[in-house]
Amino acid sequence: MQQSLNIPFLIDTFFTALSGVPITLAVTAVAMLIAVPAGFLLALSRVNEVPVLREITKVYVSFVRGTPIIVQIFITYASVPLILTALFEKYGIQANVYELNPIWYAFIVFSFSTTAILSEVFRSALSTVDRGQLEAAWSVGLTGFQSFRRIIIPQALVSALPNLATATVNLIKATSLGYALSLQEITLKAKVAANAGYNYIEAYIDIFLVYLILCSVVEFAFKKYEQRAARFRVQHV
Amino acid sequence: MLEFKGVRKSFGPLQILKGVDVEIGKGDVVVILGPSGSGKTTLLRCLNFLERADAGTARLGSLEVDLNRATKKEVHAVRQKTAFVFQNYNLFNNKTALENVMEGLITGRKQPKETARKKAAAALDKVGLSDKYDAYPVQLSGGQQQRVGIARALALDPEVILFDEPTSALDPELVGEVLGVMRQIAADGTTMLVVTHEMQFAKDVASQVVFMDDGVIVEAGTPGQIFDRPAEERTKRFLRRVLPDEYNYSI
Repeated sequence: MQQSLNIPFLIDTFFTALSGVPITLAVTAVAMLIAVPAGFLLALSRVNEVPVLREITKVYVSFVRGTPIIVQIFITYASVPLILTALFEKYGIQANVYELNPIWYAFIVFSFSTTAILSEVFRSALSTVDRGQLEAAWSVGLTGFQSFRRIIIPQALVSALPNLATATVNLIKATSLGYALSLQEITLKAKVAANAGYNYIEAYIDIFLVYLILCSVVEFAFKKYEQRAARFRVQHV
Repeated sequence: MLEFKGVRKSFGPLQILKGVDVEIGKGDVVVILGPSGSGKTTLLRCLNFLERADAGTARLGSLEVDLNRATKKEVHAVRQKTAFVFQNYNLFNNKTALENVMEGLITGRKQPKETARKKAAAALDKVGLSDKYDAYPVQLSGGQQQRVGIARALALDPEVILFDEPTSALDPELVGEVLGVMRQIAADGTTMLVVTHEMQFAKDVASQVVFMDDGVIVEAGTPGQIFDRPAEERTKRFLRRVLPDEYNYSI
């Protein structure tokens, strides 16, 4: 096996992998757009000790945290078509569920798991804001909703940002498991390119680089935003 | 003008307030004294619904509410007419001094931004912080934070300001500046209900002193009555413990 790296292939495949970035970002964005509000509401249900909903949240979070995402993908991929077929038959809808774009499964799985993660992120962030802040907001005549929007959330958000950045980066990386759904994202595209000439090392290096760049950019953006949002914590004179 | 009647509150089996009545006239400064655990702070918190009383009524001008069964709307209405100064200041950490004072005016009372800014600036000037408009709470000393807290209450122009031990979290050398501000706004005719351990302040500023112990009002009267001629044995014992030597005749 006296074989050096296939440099032209390495470069070509880098761009092939790069062409999977939009799908990766689309899944990440949709999952975050659903998970941020949903996770926040679940966090509120735990902080405010809403009966029933709080218990459901606890069980849900432990289910998601206690299982690998790949297993969640397998279960969703296997069960959702069955459920949909049954529903379609019942209501006489003419549609073939097996032609469904796999991205829909990705949306479901990653929204589901990220919501659980973020509910924990927001729960810990909300608990960093002293109760006195809420009492002070009430005392100047703010309603509960106004107090949260103007006083509690801006402060909790700053505490949540580092964990939110971690969760986002983890999500981006986790979308690589979408290859199990034949989702046309970074990993799958590069692997398919590699299959033709068995150039796996080159493909893996490309995947490695693309994720590294993508995640670094996201982390940098979060850091910049955090600096801005945390101005009120800086003790300069 | 302000009247609280039959305020009761228990935490579990522990009865904190056993039926307390307070009456405050416009421009009065009522100071509540008493040992720790006597229910002073709980009383104040019940009046602003930071704790839900088990029983009692409040009358603020034309507004009359049941302290136990008040609806969300009534709670909101009471809070719109009162203001609270906290022991731990509780300034909004994400807002500057000026924004702290403006928040209740803009969001709470729907006043236009420019009016709110003018009122907030005037309130901060009054407490001697005209150079700290844009400082965040972390950049202020405890005394300065509490003065912002007082400005925040003052700017709302409430019917009464409730002070919950406003100086007890402060370093001794910062107590003076806060008490100074309180003396000044009292002199301006602000109606105040003050829980404090500052005896000198009570003596100098109070129009009425209320002595509480064990969830009831033991004695109430002018500072002269309470400090110089207390009628109740419990009041005398308390004053002997807290007052400096000039009132302590035992050797």
